[in-house]
Amino acid sequence: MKGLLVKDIRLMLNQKQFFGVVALMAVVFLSVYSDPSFVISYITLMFSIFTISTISYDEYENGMCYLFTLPISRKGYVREKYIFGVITTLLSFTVISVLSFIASAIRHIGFDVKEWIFTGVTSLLLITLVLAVNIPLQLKFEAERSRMAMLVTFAGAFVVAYLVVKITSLVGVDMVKLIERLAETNLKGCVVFACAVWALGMLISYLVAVRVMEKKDF
Amino acid sequence: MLRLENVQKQYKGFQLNCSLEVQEGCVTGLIGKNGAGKSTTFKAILGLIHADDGQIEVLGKPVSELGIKDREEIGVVLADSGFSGYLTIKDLVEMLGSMYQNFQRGYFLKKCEEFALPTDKLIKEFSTGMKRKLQVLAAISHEARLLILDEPTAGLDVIARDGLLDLLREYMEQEGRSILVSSHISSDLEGLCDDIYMIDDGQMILHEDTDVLLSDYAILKVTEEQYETLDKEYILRHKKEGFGYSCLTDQKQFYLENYPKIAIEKGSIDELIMMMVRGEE
Repeated sequence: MKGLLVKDIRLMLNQKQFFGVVALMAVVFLSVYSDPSFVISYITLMFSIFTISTISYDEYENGMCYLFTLPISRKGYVREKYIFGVITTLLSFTVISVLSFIASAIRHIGFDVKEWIFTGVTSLLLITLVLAVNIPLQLKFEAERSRMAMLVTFAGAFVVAYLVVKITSLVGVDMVKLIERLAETNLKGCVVFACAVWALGMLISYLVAVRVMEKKDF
Repeated sequence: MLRLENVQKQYKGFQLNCSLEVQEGCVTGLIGKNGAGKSTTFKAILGLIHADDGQIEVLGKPVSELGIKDREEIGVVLADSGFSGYLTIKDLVEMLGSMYQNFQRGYFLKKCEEFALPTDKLIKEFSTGMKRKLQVLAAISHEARLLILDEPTAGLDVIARDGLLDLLREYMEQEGRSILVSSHISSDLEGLCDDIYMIDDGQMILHEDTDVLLSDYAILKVTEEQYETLDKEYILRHKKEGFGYSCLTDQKQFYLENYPKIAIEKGSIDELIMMMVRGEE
């Protein structure tokens, strides 16, 4: 596990150009935007998505085959990708939050801590769920086809959500208002529910990814 | 050290069916033409593909039960795969140091310098030969007991090949070690291996000690008339030629003594492969 983390960190450090561009974007956004929540979510997403890139780098020129002759297990490889994804997400979120706070202070823009917490929690949940969808797809289909599979997955999720809202409206239930009302009356319950859905999503994703890797022939 | 028993793997248009054994303290070679099943055999041994049937034991354990500790005792070179091209040797030193308890950082870096491998350059910019050297150096730098080397000398010039083979001989000086190696350059195997397996179309067609292969095997060049009167008991394969027949035997001495007039050539391993694959039984 440690060796894989070292590898991915090294892969990350070798992509100076990519991270240079992201850092530049962060500086521009922090200088222009008054709303730090967008900058925090966007930059965190850019960094965390690098976990998916590390899988592509492992696959480069059939490299995954050789990687699994080293002292690592297939399950350990999958676990490391999730851990690496969470570490990069949390780390980039922390750094960009501190930078946003400093930028807000310099530019005399109010930094709303309550809003920051809300942005942080929703961003972290959503970004890690994006990873949770992407990791098994990337492992199963590899770079090119996984992009298509990801589009299909998100389109499918959108269609399901749309149908749920439409069908419930036909029976006289407004889902959007219902959720808003629930959030107003029982915020704590909503947060717990969202976290439970998140945890379940991550667990399912991990189990699927492990199964994909264990069945894979190189 | 390593044992394969009736290992089978079916692909579209290809069926692997092989048995093989590598003894402790021995270097075993695997030869065969491209597409014969060498790489598939190596992948099955390393658990990179799931065999349909048969048993594979590595370091005394079924391959499916090999743990991380066991894998530290195996060094590998693969013909069609290697370290991620987006890393440098400096990155690898840190990575391998974290993966292998016995990784010899100093030795590895010293050998990289000797083989002129740049430590700061991305591996994707290396030539095929450089990548191969790097894999061999990584394989022998962590006190492995078993080396599984698929075409370790491919893409190397004569000098580099010689240097690498010397490294493997040096590696074998320590007791309790073994190597399974494949190469399409038969002279590499002649000078390194204790025994040789030959694979063709997924089937093992020959297994012999290298000494026996070089001393007892020969190719008889006979005319049609000579062929008619020839005792064919020790003829393994024959092939029609312009002058008559080429015949492969594993009893050179028998024909030397009983047929002094026929031309008997001490066959090289390349000729042996040709006869085993193209000749008729």
